[in-house]
Amino acid sequence: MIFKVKSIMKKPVITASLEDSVLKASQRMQQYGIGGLPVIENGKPVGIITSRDVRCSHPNRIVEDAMTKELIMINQDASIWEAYEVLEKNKIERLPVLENQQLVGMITKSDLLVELGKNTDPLTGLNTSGFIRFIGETLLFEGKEIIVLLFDLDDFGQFNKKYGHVTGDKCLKIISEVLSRTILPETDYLCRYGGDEFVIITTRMKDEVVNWAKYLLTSIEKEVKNNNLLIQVSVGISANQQKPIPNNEASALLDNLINNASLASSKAKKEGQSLLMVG
Amino acid sequence: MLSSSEKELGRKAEISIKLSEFEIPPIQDVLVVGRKAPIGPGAVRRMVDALSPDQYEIIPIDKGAVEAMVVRKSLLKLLPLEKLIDIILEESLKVADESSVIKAQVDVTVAIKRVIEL
Repeated sequence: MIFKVKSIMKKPVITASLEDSVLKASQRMQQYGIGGLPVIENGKPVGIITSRDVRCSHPNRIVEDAMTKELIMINQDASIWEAYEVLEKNKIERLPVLENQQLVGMITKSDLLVELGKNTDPLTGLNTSGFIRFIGETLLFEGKEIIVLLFDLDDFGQFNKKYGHVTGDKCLKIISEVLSRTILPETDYLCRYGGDEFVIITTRMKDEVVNWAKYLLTSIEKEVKNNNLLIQVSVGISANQQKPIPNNEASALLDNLINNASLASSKAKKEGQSLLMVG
Repeated sequence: MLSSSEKELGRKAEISIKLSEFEIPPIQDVLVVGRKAPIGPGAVRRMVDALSPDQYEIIPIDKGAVEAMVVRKSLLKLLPLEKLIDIILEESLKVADESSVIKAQVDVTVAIKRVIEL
């Protein structure tokens, strides 16, 4: 899967050993145009020496006496979003990548930013559909019960024709801001799925979700009114109660859930409602 | 530079040699390693392990100009580690900074006075 660290990590890894001189490590970094070398002892990573460590150390020192010993690493099957979060949280620039405790690659902040940029909607700053697919499939594979909420704007095409695309974009931004404010980390996952559609995957309980969705609709309605915009939003909700499923079936199941949520949203509109839950 | 008409008559080198015994271990009783010194505690450990195995203890220092102290283990039979570190740190910081490596000779005399019944 393209959203996993292993799909974009750099390999083979250029390393240093504990007894190398700082000067030698620095020359190797220059030679390969990289900013850090994992330090290996008996085949296992024990530290990392970065260009910052080199700047702060006497060049006569050995790597063992100059390296950063608190080594933060990531598994090759982690998502690019997880990897970026680890980098940000620890204020570091690069991560050694492991498979079965063996060093198999390196990933840098710039590698991740390029990949994340491809999966970020420039208008709203939200993740795009690739993110939600990755999260949805992962949660289903882990056996979590998930609920998909698909929000879409009623007659958005007509709205754009009537008020112009700039106003339409403003609407999308407002909705994305309202939804972003309300989601909980590790529980709700939001993306701009496409056009005027926003998808949230949540692991909240089914009973709670309907009330939460109503609250979201009310919050959106209030915010668009405050901005003198005349548009309504509908939400379709579909739930999965299936227990762990094989990875190769997760994609098809997620397709169904998103599709059902989309149909529910359309049906809600037809029936003059703003919310419909199926499944 | 010599011109074409001039000739070099000869060249001599004078060699002076001083021989003395290599001190083992070369670090005496205590070595104080500065945080930005040319060698760090890892390199010192490798050196003492090779030259004087099991005779020294590396004590890392978390904060300040000193990164580590290498102490001869036999000294610790005479003095508690914390007391020795405090004294050495206090004195060495008067003459050294974070880029220094200082070796210290430490002589400890334990005075004991006892009263016994006759």
